[in-house]
Amino acid sequence: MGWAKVLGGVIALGGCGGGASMAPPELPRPTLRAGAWQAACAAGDVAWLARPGAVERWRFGADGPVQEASVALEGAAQAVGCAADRALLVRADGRAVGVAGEGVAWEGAAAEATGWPAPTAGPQRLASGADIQLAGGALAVIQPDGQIWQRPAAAGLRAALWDGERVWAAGASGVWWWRPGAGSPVPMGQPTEVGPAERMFQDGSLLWLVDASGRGLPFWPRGPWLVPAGEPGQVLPADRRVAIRLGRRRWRPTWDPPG
Amino acid sequence: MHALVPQGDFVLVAAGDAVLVYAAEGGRLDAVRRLDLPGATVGLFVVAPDRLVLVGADYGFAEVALTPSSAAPRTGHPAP
Repeated sequence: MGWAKVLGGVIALGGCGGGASMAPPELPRPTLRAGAWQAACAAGDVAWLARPGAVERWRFGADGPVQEASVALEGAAQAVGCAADRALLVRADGRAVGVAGEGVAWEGAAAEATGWPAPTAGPQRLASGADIQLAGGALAVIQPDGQIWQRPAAAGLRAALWDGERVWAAGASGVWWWRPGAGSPVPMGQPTEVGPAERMFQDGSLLWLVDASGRGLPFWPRGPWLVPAGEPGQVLPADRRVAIRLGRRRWRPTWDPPG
Repeated sequence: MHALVPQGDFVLVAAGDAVLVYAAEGGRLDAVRRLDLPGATVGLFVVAPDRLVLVGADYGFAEVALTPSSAAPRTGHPAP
């Protein structure tokens, strides 16, 4: 197991150290952005849409879709029951959260959620006749006349990198980037030259995407576009040697990456 | 495990549905902090001395403020 070897190496280095050490950093709960929509419930022209770390209340009125609220939650809901002004979100572990207005009003076991709307399953239909569909983490609202309103989500991601300015991620939902501390993650779509990325790496100003077959291509990020910088081809497997600086020491073990 | 990042005297590890802070002390490795997340993590980056960014397979992007613990500094043990 590579994982055990890595931690074994860390133990060995720690044992060589000694002396005073700093207190470990705290890890406060983060705000999650652009995650997959996982459950939905419609009531009239309101829809409650659950994604990891939050549930959103949207109104699909004559003026178009409007997000009215986003309530932070712990974990991810697998089912939602709702009325226009409240919703019950049920997690896989059987715990449930009742949301009313713009805040959490109740928490407990799902079996004890009396007085809250029961979770619903299957397609959700708004009062207008539009259907809410969740597919691959993305959200689509299909009007009776066939018009579709949709929002992508950063779902099915398989690889990520930090270029010093932006965090990049790629996978089944295409390529995304986000500048930490500024705005929302930006979807850039899926380049047609390669399949969904299994890994990605940076080569100067180029961003390489490599799909499951090992086929890769370098791209120049240009505004909202990824411009191919060559022809697709097979990319050699990643070097299995890794070197990181741990404290004052250079650590260069050979290990087997997971997967 | 999907990512491992040294951070001073500690190592940040994304494993399963959690991010853990490990401290090596006296030949042992202890998980001293744990952040549970709604899914697997595919990227973990310290983008500033006080900021950690996580990328989830399905939870999207997350930013964590790496605030120093309010606890008193621990004293390490000499190597065996």
